[in-house]
Amino acid sequence: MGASDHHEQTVAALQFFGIVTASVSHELNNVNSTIEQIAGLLEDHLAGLQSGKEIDPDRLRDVHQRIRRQTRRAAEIIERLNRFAHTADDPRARFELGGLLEILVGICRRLSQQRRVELQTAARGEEIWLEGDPFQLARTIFDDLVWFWTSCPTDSVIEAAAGREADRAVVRLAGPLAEPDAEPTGPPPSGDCAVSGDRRTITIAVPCGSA
Amino acid sequence: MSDLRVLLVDDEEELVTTLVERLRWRGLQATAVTNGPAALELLRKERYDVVVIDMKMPGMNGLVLRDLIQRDFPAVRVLLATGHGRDSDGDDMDMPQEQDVLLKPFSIDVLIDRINRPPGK
Repeated sequence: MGASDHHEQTVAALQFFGIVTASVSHELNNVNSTIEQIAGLLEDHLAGLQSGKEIDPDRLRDVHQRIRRQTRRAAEIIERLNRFAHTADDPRARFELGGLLEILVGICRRLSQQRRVELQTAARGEEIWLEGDPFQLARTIFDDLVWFWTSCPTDSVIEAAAGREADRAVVRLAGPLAEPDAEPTGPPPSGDCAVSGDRRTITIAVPCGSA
Repeated sequence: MSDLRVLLVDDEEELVTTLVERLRWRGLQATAVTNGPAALELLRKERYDVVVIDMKMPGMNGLVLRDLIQRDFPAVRVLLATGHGRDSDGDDMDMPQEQDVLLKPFSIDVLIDRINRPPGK
């Protein structure tokens, strides 16, 4: 790889990281905004109490549950971001494909929902342990996921699954693709990727060895 | 109770339901919905003076909803709420004037001040 190619790869990798972290920061800001208002509601109730109003214990329980739901949600978002960030640690890491896919789908869900497309992962089957660069693989799958959800009709569901095909690991994305002439973005961006004849599945060959 | 009728539109359901409670606590008539089509449907049935819209919503985004409201309900004031100064996620968006935008998280006092503020101030 020449210096120019290397620079382009680095920029593309940083752009991917930037898209993901910007999206996660939006999610966390939403949680923060919600907690801010719930705390304000609690202040309102306390102010009412000081001015002689009674507080219904059920109202307080409801406020408490709202806070718990939001802090739990924030913890899940932070956990996903942390696991995603660690995919860049080692370009020769040992990792499980289904686990990587779950991180990626979790992180992309908000982005696809902006296009009214839902992402989900298939039930985990056999564990598929690989050795290679999980961050680069995540980027490849991400590019195809974006292509898929921009090529789907709104209100579609895309299911992502890790699997094996012959002697290699693959990722399958299934959902209702639009007709070829309606596609806004051309063919899937990753190199080793096949669209099924019924246009309901794309299969991405995983460029990592078994571990 | 204020005569002002406020509609909040945000897909963060727990955020808008809490804001509705806080606005009602302060005597405003507030209602919330979680998407653009539901907001338009409600506007066809009921009178609202101010609509507060989250810019980033699945499906119909806040700017599209704002444009539709300004076209079909020109008497209704629209305020936009955003999580960041540039709320684009890579899309080019027509950023509105600062006086029409609330930056999240905002305090209830700032929200009420903007709701009560005359247009363009």
